[in-house]
Amino acid sequence: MDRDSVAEFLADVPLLQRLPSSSVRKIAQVVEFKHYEAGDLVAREGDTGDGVYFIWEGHAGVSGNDNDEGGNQPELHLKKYDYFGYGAFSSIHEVNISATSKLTCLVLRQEFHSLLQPKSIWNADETETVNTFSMVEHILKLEPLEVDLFRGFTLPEAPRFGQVFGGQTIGQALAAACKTVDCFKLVHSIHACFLLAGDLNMPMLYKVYRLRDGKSFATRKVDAFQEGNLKFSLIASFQKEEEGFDHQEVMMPDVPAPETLLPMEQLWERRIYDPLLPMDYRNKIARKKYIPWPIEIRFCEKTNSTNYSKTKPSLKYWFKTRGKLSDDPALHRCVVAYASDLIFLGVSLNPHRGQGFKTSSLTLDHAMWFHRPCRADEWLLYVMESPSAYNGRGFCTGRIFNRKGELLVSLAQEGVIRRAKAANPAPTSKLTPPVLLGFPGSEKQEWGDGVAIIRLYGFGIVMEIPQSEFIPRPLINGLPDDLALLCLARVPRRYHHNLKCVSKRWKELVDSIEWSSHRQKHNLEEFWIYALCRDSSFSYLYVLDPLRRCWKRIRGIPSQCSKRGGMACQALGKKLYLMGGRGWLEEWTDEVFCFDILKNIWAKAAPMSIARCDFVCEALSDNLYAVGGGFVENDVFVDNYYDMYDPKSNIWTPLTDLHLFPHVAASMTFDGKIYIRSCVVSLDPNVNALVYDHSFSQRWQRVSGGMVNGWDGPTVVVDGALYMLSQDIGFKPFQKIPSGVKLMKWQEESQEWISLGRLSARLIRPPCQLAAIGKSIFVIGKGLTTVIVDLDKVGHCDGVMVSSSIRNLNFNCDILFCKAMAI
Amino acid sequence: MSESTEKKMVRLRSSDGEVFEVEESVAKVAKTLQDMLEEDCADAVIPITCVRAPILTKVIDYCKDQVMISSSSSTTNNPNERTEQERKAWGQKFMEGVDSSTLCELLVASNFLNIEGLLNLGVDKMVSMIQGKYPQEIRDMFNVVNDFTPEEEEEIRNQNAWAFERDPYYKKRSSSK
Repeated sequence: MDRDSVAEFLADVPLLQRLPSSSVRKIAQVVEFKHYEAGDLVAREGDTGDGVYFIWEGHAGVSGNDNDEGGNQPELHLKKYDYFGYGAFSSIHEVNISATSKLTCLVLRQEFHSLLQPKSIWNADETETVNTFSMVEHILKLEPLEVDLFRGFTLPEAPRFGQVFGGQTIGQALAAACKTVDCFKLVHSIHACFLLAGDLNMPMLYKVYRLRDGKSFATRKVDAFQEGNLKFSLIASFQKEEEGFDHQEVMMPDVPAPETLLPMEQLWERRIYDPLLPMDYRNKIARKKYIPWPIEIRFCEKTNSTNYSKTKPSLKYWFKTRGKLSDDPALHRCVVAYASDLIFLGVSLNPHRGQGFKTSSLTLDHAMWFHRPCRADEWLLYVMESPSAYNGRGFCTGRIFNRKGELLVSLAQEGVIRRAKAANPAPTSKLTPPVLLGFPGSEKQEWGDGVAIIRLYGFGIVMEIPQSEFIPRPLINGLPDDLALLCLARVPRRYHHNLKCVSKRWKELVDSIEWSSHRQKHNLEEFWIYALCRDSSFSYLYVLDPLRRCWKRIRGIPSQCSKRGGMACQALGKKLYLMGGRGWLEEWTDEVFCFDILKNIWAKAAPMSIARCDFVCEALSDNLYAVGGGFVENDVFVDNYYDMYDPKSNIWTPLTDLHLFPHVAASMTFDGKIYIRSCVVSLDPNVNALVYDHSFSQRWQRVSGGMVNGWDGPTVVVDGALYMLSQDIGFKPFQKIPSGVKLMKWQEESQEWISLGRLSARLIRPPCQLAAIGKSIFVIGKGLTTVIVDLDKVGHCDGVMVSSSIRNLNFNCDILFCKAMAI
Repeated sequence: MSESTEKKMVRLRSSDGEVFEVEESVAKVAKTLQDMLEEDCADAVIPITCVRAPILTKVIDYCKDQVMISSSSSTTNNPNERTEQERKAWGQKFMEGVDSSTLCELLVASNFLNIEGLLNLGVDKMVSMIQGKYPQEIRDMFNVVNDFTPEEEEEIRNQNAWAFERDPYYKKRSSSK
């Protein structure tokens, strides 16, 4: 007798059908044959049993106590597929069993009994710990009570929608059906009907009826009960694998690969940071713990639809389980059934959205056809559309493809879709949960008394939250928010602080990146100049609104920061970064602080990889580069380490380059390259400058000639041209006549610095730094003395340039850094 | 203007049921109506469902003026042609005395009817109403609920404290109060 036919036989034994398919195969390997002649006593009452007997062929009779009347008359007849000797509590035979014909039994010995008690209906292997498998496997793990009776639970972490999630009921009911069928037969179709809503707080009982067991097909009906009430019913059909005709007419739509699409967590985050959503609501969800669905979903299409905008009734997304699933093919189909109900019916609502759109929607029935084998822990594409809605019912069809484009599953669903009536709360005790409308993480989501729908901005997903939690308050009463934004964004920047005080939503709006990008898009940006300066003991941050022509100190600079000298400062995005340096009594530091110019708040950013002091920092292609002044321990300088900062991840990446020198005097960024200059004075200026080209070599290379030749002052870029302030303030042995402060321009054609003119010594207090707004260069000297040179009005003569100035504050400080930043 | 009687007329119905009859050229200042008229639905009364009669009157006034300007500027060397400054003054006068709720309705109407010039006038008016105002004045004007706690409001003031400091505008405002 070969082991395959033994396995096939065992798969038909009802007792074994609840086991993982792998267990059945293992049992087939270890069972032994025992043969008896008619009349042989197979087991005697009181004897110690040696295992479980499955009747392979023939008949046996069960009789009670020997001393009973009519002693040898069997009370019960056993036939093929029946078993005896199986007891949980004792291995003592409690009855006499004798062969009534020629009898063949398969015996599973006592030592293999553990095979009959697997940890889970899906996986027998006890070494697999609970956590290695996907949560959905635990959700679909039923507790076998009797041969055809199972119990399922709603796990605390499982998605729920105020009532038992319909997909969970479908998945568990199908699991119950699968566990009463020969494991070589796989489900190919299910038809499910939802009758009453499931209660989250009690288990669901699944009663299986074996409608038919044929050679190739088997049919099961499963009823789900809670407290004796029938809540749900499902009919499933199973088939043995066979060769047959093969064609596929539908094509998988052309969609982006799942790896290129945003996961739900990021959608969740976006929702928290989306200033167009009401702040109350965002705060609320931000406080909630994000509990991801056990199914990972990635939407294929981005849309710009807002809350209530109508869209076509279709949706496409990729899905797979989070984590691995056991190999049981029945499990994978149950998981697909589970996932297919997460977002489905709501597609039929898409064309009916509008202002104040509120609905209650409930699934009525769900049908699936499994065409080809599938794995639910690999990406599957779910394509759905709603061909029709009428008479308060929406109808949806769906198809599931694998990555190869094979059609695996076809689906159909019908449900009630109604406008929610305020007076008549959506049914709380009827039917299944609304399908589409849950969203991940909303563990305490109420379902019932009036729900508002928010559409995720930029993605066609819908989530529902109780109306009481979501009162959309417009920015300005009587004005749609887009018009309000149009108006508010035109308010000059100097009044923004007033707007912030109006209400939470106004503040959220004015603090947001969207606010500044809207202003940028509509040419409303206003530049203010931020300057870091330092007197004999403290550092300060000042800001200049060029329209008001007066400098103001920005308060709240962290005290550590204000004490430090030798810091580097740079602007990136809408933030100013203050890095490194050392205070009066402290060692050199790697600390980084940043000032958000939108929110006007200080925060700590990630520290650099090493402590730095008296170094430079430049911004290039959305990253910061800190170079020079590196210091590790015991006065050891690190010459060739530089740091690259990515503001998105808030990470400094240490990088090395052998060309780098420790003492960097100055730096500039021009034409996509960073230039640095060494402190060490040399007669040959070329030796001491390096250039870093991010897009080309990503290396620091010596640079000779060009603009480095003669670069001895602060620079600024205006309209793609490089300007420099040559401020001859130091001692230069070869120069007899001081040249004063001159504004120079780099002439690309002739490869030389040309002088645009001298700045009046009475207006200016070198050393200065440069910043630029539009065509104006701001020359900012000691005590924030500011001279504005309008390049349109500057001639090429070598005379004193005409310029306007802003009165200085009455204090003596050096300007370390200045930069124009726009909102 | 004698040939105006021969001109094609268009009828518009406001949300409160009032019907306005205007020349087609006037209606066509509104891009939305222009598109509709070009699609040939001129015979029927066009319902402007989101605009009330007093607002629609104002909108039509604006459109009439635009038609007048464009017809006069098409004739060469017209002394009536407005300079940029006059245009600005006219706009200000047009918006004079418009309160915040009327302004909101005008903005919604000009957005719906797609009249860019009127929308810009409205936005400018809105900006002039908001800028330089105290938060409480803004709240009163637009009926915005202050949902900050006093502590939160104080914190925001502190974060922006430097903006209030030595602010000539700020001083002027507070002294005039």
